[in-house]
Amino acid sequence: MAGLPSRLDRLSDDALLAALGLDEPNAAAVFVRRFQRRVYGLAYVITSDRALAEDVAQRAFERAWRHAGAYDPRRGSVATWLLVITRNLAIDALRVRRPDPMDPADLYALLPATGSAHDPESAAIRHDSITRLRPALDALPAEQRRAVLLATIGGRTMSEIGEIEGIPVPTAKTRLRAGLAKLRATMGKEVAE
Amino acid sequence: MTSGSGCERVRERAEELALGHIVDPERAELLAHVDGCPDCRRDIEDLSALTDELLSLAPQLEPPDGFEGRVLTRMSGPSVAAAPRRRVGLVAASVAALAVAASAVGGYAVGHSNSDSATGTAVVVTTAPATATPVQREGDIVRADGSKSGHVLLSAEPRPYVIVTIDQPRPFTGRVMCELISSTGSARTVGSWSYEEIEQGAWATGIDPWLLTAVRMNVRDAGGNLVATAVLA
Repeated sequence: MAGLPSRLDRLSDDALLAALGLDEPNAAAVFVRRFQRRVYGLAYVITSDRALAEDVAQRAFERAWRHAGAYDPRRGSVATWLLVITRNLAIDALRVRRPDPMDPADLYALLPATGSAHDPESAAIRHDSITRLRPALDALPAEQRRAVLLATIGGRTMSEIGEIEGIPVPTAKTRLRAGLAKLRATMGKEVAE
Repeated sequence: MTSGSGCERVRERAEELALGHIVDPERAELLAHVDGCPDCRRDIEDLSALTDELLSLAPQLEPPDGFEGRVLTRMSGPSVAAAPRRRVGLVAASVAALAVAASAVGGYAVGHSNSDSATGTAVVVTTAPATATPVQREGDIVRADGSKSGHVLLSAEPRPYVIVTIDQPRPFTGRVMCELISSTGSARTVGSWSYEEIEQGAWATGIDPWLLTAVRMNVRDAGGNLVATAVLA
């Protein structure tokens, strides 16, 4: 296999997804290798269960492969599209089976400090997101940050956040809303500058 | 166009809507308002962009040994053809029923009225004759967010047809266009439908015979934006 995927390895995420949709030989292998750590990582953080996370991750790749043509670059990067698919599948899986949720403190500790993706484009996009979002997230009051992390990366519903945090659901909702509003304001200000 | 109570409802549930935590039918109701309200649409789009981008902060973890091999088997094996084929009996019956109805009205957009049913598929199947119709190609209709919203198939008899059945209430808003992509990549818009039409059963239209080997169906909104697609196999 050595050397075979070299041309595909150099493709941008968009071009690689297009190659995947056209059943280009080896495109699937390169696509999976490029994104598997991120897809599995998100699936695991949401499900807190290795077997369930693997099943979700496998289904996410399968769905991306079947429906590569549904990707619309105007709505975000390939990585984001794939992670949204993963999140939706993980949330669906949890509706059937609910393992113990990950502690918000553990979740926060797992957040990356810098980008470390293998291919340059993914690394650049990821690094850009981290560079812009991480400081904004750090600046939130702790309870708002926990609500944002639990609801987004953690895939938790409002009632689950209320339960985990020991607060009423309206309070959980208020914290999430306030946290997201501050992030939006910070990111909006950055764009304007 | 804005609606006070509609805007209020969307505002109340905006974060959960953007996070994918709301399920149908409430999701469809909220999206119907969002589609017609520029303020709410902009708000939900911004919020979705932010919550989607936050996913990129999720930690990267090494999957279990053998993961790559297992997922590649899934992406190249019989699952592509086998999963849809299990539905052939059901959808073939749908085509037969629609073909009969289409012959009766000599038409294209065809519906089966049954106010008791929320989904077109159920209506068609319960009224379909038990004969099988040659299904050339078929596939699940999937929206851009990856959720499945229906099924499409191409049938050769009694004459070349494309038929669309929808599994979810109101997965699309407004009038959408059905575009078939041939194996050589050329695109042909074969018709359009609105939810009100498809709600009554299914949507079907005659197509040129060469489109029976189409490899993809795209659903586009009035602005030409891709809202869903189906890989045909």
